[in-house]
Amino acid sequence: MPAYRTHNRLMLDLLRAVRDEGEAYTTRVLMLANLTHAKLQDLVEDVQKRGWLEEVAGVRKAWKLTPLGAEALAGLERVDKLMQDFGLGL
Amino acid sequence: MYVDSWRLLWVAVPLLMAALPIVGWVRTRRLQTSPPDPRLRAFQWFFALYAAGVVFRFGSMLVLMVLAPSEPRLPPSDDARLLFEGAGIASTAFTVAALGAVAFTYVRRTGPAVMAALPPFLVWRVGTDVLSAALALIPAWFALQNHRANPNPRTLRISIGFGLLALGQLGFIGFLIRDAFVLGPFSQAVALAGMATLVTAFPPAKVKPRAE
Repeated sequence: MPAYRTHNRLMLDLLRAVRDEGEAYTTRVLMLANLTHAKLQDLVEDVQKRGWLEEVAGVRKAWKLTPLGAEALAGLERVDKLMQDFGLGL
Repeated sequence: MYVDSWRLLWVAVPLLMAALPIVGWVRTRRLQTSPPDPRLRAFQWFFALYAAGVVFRFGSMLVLMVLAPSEPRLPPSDDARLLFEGAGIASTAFTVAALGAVAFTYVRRTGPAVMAALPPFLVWRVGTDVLSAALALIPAWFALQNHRANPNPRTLRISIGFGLLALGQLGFIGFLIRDAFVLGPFSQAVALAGMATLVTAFPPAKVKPRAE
Protein backbone atom coordinates (compact mmCIF):
# COMPACT_ATOMS: atom_id res chain seq x y z
CA MET A 1 0.00 0.00 0.00
CA PRO A 2 1.60 3.35 -1.00
CA ALA A 3 2.09 5.85 1.80
CA TYR A 4 0.20 9.05 0.97
CA ARG A 5 0.88 12.29 2.76
CA THR A 6 -1.91 13.48 5.01
CA HIS A 7 -3.48 16.92 4.63
CA ASN A 8 -1.49 18.16 7.64
CA ARG A 9 1.72 16.87 6.12
CA LEU A 10 1.03 18.60 2.80
CA MET A 11 0.28 21.81 4.66
CA LEU A 12 3.47 21.47 6.66
CA ASP A 13 5.51 20.92 3.49
CA LEU A 14 3.90 23.93 1.80
CA LEU A 15 4.52 26.25 4.76
CA ARG A 16 8.10 25.05 5.11
CA ALA A 17 8.72 25.65 1.41
CA VAL A 18 7.36 29.20 1.63
CA ARG A 19 9.34 29.92 4.81
CA ASP A 20 12.57 28.66 3.28
CA GLU A 21 12.06 30.75 0.17
CA GLY A 22 10.99 33.95 1.90
CA GLU A 23 8.95 35.02 -1.09
CA ALA A 24 7.93 31.85 -2.83
CA TYR A 25 6.92 31.55 -6.46
CA THR A 26 4.57 28.83 -7.67
CA THR A 27 7.19 26.79 -9.50
CA ARG A 28 9.56 26.75 -6.53
CA VAL A 29 6.83 25.77 -4.11
CA LEU A 30 5.66 23.00 -6.44
CA MET A 31 9.19 21.67 -6.54
CA LEU A 32 10.09 22.08 -2.87
CA ALA A 33 6.82 20.78 -1.47
CA ASN A 34 6.51 18.14 -4.19
CA LEU A 35 2.91 19.04 -5.02
CA THR A 36 0.75 18.99 -8.12
CA HIS A 37 -0.55 22.33 -9.31
CA ALA A 38 -4.16 21.45 -8.47
CA LYS A 39 -3.21 20.33 -4.97
CA LEU A 40 -1.16 23.48 -4.46
CA GLN A 41 -4.15 25.65 -5.42
CA ASP A 42 -6.35 23.82 -2.91
CA LEU A 43 -3.79 24.13 -0.14
CA VAL A 44 -3.00 27.77 -0.82
CA GLU A 45 -6.70 28.61 -0.76
CA ASP A 46 -7.01 26.84 2.58
CA VAL A 47 -4.01 28.48 4.24
CA GLN A 48 -4.91 31.91 2.86
CA LYS A 49 -8.33 31.60 4.46
CA ARG A 50 -6.58 30.88 7.74
CA GLY A 51 -4.41 33.96 7.28
CA TRP A 52 -1.17 32.01 7.20
CA LEU A 53 -0.03 33.10 3.73
CA GLU A 54 -0.33 36.39 1.90
CA GLU A 55 0.16 37.16 -1.72
CA VAL A 56 3.08 39.41 -2.64
CA ALA A 57 2.30 42.11 -5.18
CA GLY A 58 4.38 41.80 -8.32
CA VAL A 59 4.51 40.60 -11.89
CA ARG A 60 4.67 36.94 -10.91
CA LYS A 61 2.44 35.33 -8.35
CA ALA A 62 4.28 34.80 -5.07
CA TRP A 63 3.42 34.16 -1.44
CA LYS A 64 5.04 34.85 1.88
CA LEU A 65 4.39 33.62 5.37
CA THR A 66 2.45 35.89 7.74
CA PRO A 67 3.38 36.07 11.45
CA LEU A 68 0.30 33.94 12.11
CA GLY A 69 1.54 31.46 9.53
CA ALA A 70 4.96 31.33 11.15
CA GLU A 71 3.28 30.60 14.48
CA ALA A 72 1.13 27.91 12.87
CA LEU A 73 4.16 26.34 11.23
CA ALA A 74 5.98 26.26 14.57
CA GLY A 75 2.97 24.50 16.11
CA LEU A 76 2.70 21.97 13.28
CA GLU A 77 6.42 21.25 13.42
CA ARG A 78 6.35 20.83 17.16
CA VAL A 79 3.45 18.38 17.04
CA ASP A 80 5.04 16.51 14.14
CA LYS A 81 8.32 16.15 16.05
CA LEU A 82 6.45 14.92 19.12
CA MET A 83 4.46 12.38 17.12
CA GLN A 84 7.59 11.18 15.36
CA ASP A 85 9.04 10.48 18.80
CA PHE A 86 5.96 8.34 19.37
CA GLY A 87 6.84 6.50 16.17
CA LEU A 88 3.96 8.05 14.26
CA GLY A 89 5.31 9.87 11.24
CA LEU A 90 2.85 11.75 9.05
CA MET B 1 -7.21 -5.31 58.78
CA TYR B 2 -4.72 -6.53 56.21
CA VAL B 3 -7.48 -6.96 53.63
CA ASP B 4 -8.87 -3.50 54.40
CA SER B 5 -5.53 -1.88 53.59
CA TRP B 6 -5.50 -3.60 50.24
CA ARG B 7 -9.03 -2.42 49.61
CA LEU B 8 -7.99 1.15 50.25
CA LEU B 9 -5.29 0.64 47.65
CA TRP B 10 -7.90 -0.73 45.24
CA VAL B 11 -9.73 2.58 45.48
CA ALA B 12 -6.81 4.99 45.87
CA VAL B 13 -4.86 3.79 42.84
CA PRO B 14 -7.78 4.12 40.38
CA LEU B 15 -8.43 7.61 41.76
CA LEU B 16 -4.85 8.59 40.99
CA MET B 17 -5.14 6.93 37.61
CA ALA B 18 -8.21 8.97 36.74
CA ALA B 19 -6.32 12.24 37.27
CA LEU B 20 -3.41 11.30 35.01
CA PRO B 21 -5.29 10.62 31.75
CA ILE B 22 -7.27 13.81 32.33
CA VAL B 23 -3.98 15.72 32.52
CA GLY B 24 -2.92 13.91 29.35
CA TRP B 25 -6.13 14.89 27.61
CA VAL B 26 -5.67 18.54 28.58
CA ARG B 27 -2.07 18.52 27.31
CA THR B 28 -2.98 16.92 23.97
CA ARG B 29 -5.89 19.32 23.58
CA ARG B 30 -3.60 22.31 24.14
CA LEU B 31 -1.13 20.98 21.62
CA GLN B 32 -3.75 20.29 18.99
CA THR B 33 -3.28 22.22 15.79
CA SER B 34 -5.71 23.57 13.26
CA PRO B 35 -6.50 21.57 11.13
CA PRO B 36 -6.48 18.89 13.83
CA ASP B 37 -3.63 16.42 13.75
CA PRO B 38 -5.19 12.92 13.49
CA ARG B 39 -2.39 11.31 15.50
CA LEU B 40 -2.79 13.77 18.35
CA ARG B 41 -6.57 13.32 18.15
CA ALA B 42 -6.07 9.57 18.62
CA PHE B 43 -4.17 10.32 21.83
CA GLN B 44 -6.94 12.68 22.94
CA TRP B 45 -9.40 9.79 22.51
CA PHE B 46 -6.99 7.45 24.27
CA PHE B 47 -6.72 9.66 27.35
CA ALA B 48 -10.44 10.48 27.45
CA LEU B 49 -11.59 6.87 27.10
CA TYR B 50 -8.96 5.61 29.52
CA ALA B 51 -10.08 8.19 32.09
CA ALA B 52 -13.70 7.05 31.63
CA GLY B 53 -12.60 3.44 32.11
CA VAL B 54 -10.77 4.35 35.29
CA VAL B 55 -13.77 6.24 36.64
CA PHE B 56 -15.93 3.13 36.17
CA ARG B 57 -13.22 0.99 37.74
CA PHE B 58 -13.16 3.36 40.69
CA GLY B 59 -16.96 3.06 40.84
CA SER B 60 -16.83 -0.71 40.91
CA MET B 61 -14.19 -0.66 43.62
CA LEU B 62 -16.28 1.77 45.61
CA VAL B 63 -19.26 -0.59 45.35
CA LEU B 64 -17.01 -3.37 46.54
CA MET B 65 -15.80 -1.34 49.51
CA VAL B 66 -19.10 0.11 50.61
CA LEU B 67 -21.47 -2.77 49.94
CA ALA B 68 -19.25 -5.71 50.74
CA PRO B 69 -17.14 -4.84 53.76
CA SER B 70 -16.70 -8.50 54.72
CA GLU B 71 -16.53 -10.21 51.36
CA PRO B 72 -13.17 -9.82 49.63
CA ARG B 73 -14.25 -10.24 46.01
CA LEU B 74 -17.96 -9.74 45.27
CA PRO B 75 -20.80 -7.84 46.90
CA PRO B 76 -23.34 -10.14 48.54
CA SER B 77 -26.69 -8.89 47.20
CA ASP B 78 -27.81 -9.38 43.60
CA ASP B 79 -28.31 -5.63 43.02
CA ALA B 80 -24.88 -4.77 44.33
CA ARG B 81 -23.37 -7.60 42.32
CA LEU B 82 -25.11 -6.32 39.18
CA LEU B 83 -23.87 -2.80 39.85
CA PHE B 84 -20.35 -4.06 40.47
CA GLU B 85 -20.31 -6.22 37.36
CA GLY B 86 -21.87 -3.47 35.22
CA ALA B 87 -19.23 -0.97 36.28
CA GLY B 88 -16.55 -3.58 35.64
CA ILE B 89 -17.83 -4.26 32.11
CA ALA B 90 -18.03 -0.51 31.35
CA SER B 91 -14.51 -0.03 32.68
CA THR B 92 -13.14 -2.84 30.51
CA ALA B 93 -15.02 -1.59 27.44
CA PHE B 94 -13.63 1.94 27.82
CA THR B 95 -10.11 0.64 28.42
CA VAL B 96 -10.28 -1.61 25.34
CA ALA B 97 -11.60 1.31 23.27
CA ALA B 98 -8.82 3.60 24.57
CA LEU B 99 -6.05 1.14 23.82
CA GLY B 100 -7.72 0.23 20.53
CA ALA B 101 -7.65 3.87 19.38
CA VAL B 102 -3.89 4.10 19.88
CA ALA B 103 -3.19 0.59 18.59
CA PHE B 104 -5.16 1.32 15.42
CA THR B 105 -3.20 4.55 14.87
CA TYR B 106 0.04 2.58 14.98
CA VAL B 107 -1.16 -0.37 12.95
CA ARG B 108 -2.78 1.50 10.09
CA ARG B 109 0.54 3.21 9.33
CA THR B 110 2.60 0.06 9.30
CA GLY B 111 0.23 -2.28 7.51
CA PRO B 112 -2.61 -4.57 8.45
CA ALA B 113 -0.34 -7.45 9.55
CA VAL B 114 -0.60 -6.78 13.27
CA MET B 115 -4.32 -6.08 13.10
CA ALA B 116 -4.74 -9.42 11.37
CA ALA B 117 -3.39 -11.07 14.51
CA LEU B 118 -6.25 -9.69 16.57
CA PRO B 119 -9.27 -11.57 15.12
CA PRO B 120 -8.09 -14.94 16.52
CA PHE B 121 -8.38 -13.40 19.97
CA LEU B 122 -11.95 -12.47 19.21
CA VAL B 123 -12.74 -15.80 17.54
CA TRP B 124 -11.48 -17.75 20.50
CA ARG B 125 -13.61 -15.61 22.78
CA VAL B 126 -10.91 -14.98 25.28
CA GLY B 127 -11.58 -12.29 27.85
CA THR B 128 -11.58 -8.61 27.08
CA ASP B 129 -8.68 -8.26 29.51
CA VAL B 130 -6.56 -10.37 27.21
CA LEU B 131 -7.72 -8.21 24.30
CA SER B 132 -6.82 -4.99 26.13
CA ALA B 133 -3.40 -6.46 27.01
CA ALA B 134 -2.87 -7.41 23.35
CA LEU B 135 -3.88 -3.90 22.28
CA ALA B 136 -1.53 -2.36 24.85
CA LEU B 137 1.33 -4.46 23.49
CA ILE B 138 0.95 -2.99 19.97
CA PRO B 139 1.99 0.61 20.79
CA ALA B 140 4.57 -0.78 23.25
CA TRP B 141 6.15 -2.80 20.45
CA PHE B 142 6.11 0.04 17.92
CA ALA B 143 7.40 2.57 20.46
CA LEU B 144 10.27 0.22 21.32
CA GLN B 145 11.08 -0.23 17.62
CA ASN B 146 10.98 3.53 17.17
CA HIS B 147 13.34 4.03 20.12
CA ARG B 148 15.78 1.51 18.64
CA ALA B 149 15.69 3.34 15.30
CA ASN B 150 15.74 6.84 16.75
CA PRO B 151 17.12 6.79 20.30
CA ASN B 152 16.56 9.93 22.35
CA PRO B 153 15.27 10.57 25.89
CA ARG B 154 11.69 11.13 24.76
CA THR B 155 11.44 7.97 22.63
CA LEU B 156 12.90 6.05 25.59
CA ARG B 157 10.30 7.57 27.92
CA ILE B 158 7.49 6.76 25.48
CA SER B 159 8.58 3.15 25.03
CA ILE B 160 8.90 2.72 28.81
CA GLY B 161 5.45 4.30 29.28
CA PHE B 162 3.73 2.03 26.79
CA GLY B 163 5.73 -0.95 28.12
CA LEU B 164 4.58 -0.34 31.69
CA LEU B 165 1.01 0.17 30.53
CA ALA B 166 1.12 -3.15 28.68
CA LEU B 167 2.70 -4.82 31.72
CA GLY B 168 -0.08 -3.43 33.90
CA GLN B 169 -2.71 -4.80 31.52
CA LEU B 170 -0.95 -8.17 31.46
CA GLY B 171 -0.92 -8.13 35.25
CA PHE B 172 -4.69 -7.87 35.19
CA ILE B 173 -4.81 -11.18 33.31
CA GLY B 174 -2.60 -12.72 35.98
CA PHE B 175 -4.91 -11.31 38.60
CA LEU B 176 -7.93 -12.86 36.92
CA ILE B 177 -6.28 -16.22 36.50
CA ARG B 178 -4.66 -16.51 39.89
CA ASP B 179 -7.44 -14.77 41.75
CA ALA B 180 -4.82 -13.05 43.90
CA PHE B 181 -6.08 -9.93 45.63
CA VAL B 182 -2.59 -8.45 45.78
CA LEU B 183 -1.89 -8.52 42.04
CA GLY B 184 -4.75 -6.12 41.22
CA PRO B 185 -3.32 -3.03 42.96
CA PHE B 186 0.16 -3.99 41.78
CA SER B 187 -1.01 -4.09 38.15
CA GLN B 188 -2.79 -0.79 38.63
CA ALA B 189 0.34 0.77 40.12
CA VAL B 190 2.42 -0.42 37.15
CA ALA B 191 -0.18 0.92 34.70
CA LEU B 192 -0.26 4.15 36.72
CA ALA B 193 3.51 4.52 36.32
CA GLY B 194 3.15 3.88 32.60
CA MET B 195 0.38 6.43 32.25
CA ALA B 196 2.41 9.03 34.20
CA THR B 197 5.39 8.43 31.92
CA LEU B 198 3.24 8.83 28.81
CA VAL B 199 1.51 11.98 30.07
CA THR B 200 4.83 13.66 30.85
CA ALA B 201 6.00 12.91 27.29
CA PHE B 202 3.53 15.58 26.12
CA PRO B 203 4.85 19.09 26.78
CA PRO B 204 2.55 21.21 28.94
CA ALA B 205 3.26 24.50 27.14
CA LYS B 206 0.60 25.78 24.84
CA VAL B 207 1.18 26.15 21.13
CA LYS B 208 -1.66 28.02 19.52
CA PRO B 209 -1.62 28.15 15.74
CA ARG B 210 -5.41 28.45 15.48
CA ALA B 211 -6.48 31.04 13.01
CA GLU B 212 -9.67 31.87 11.19
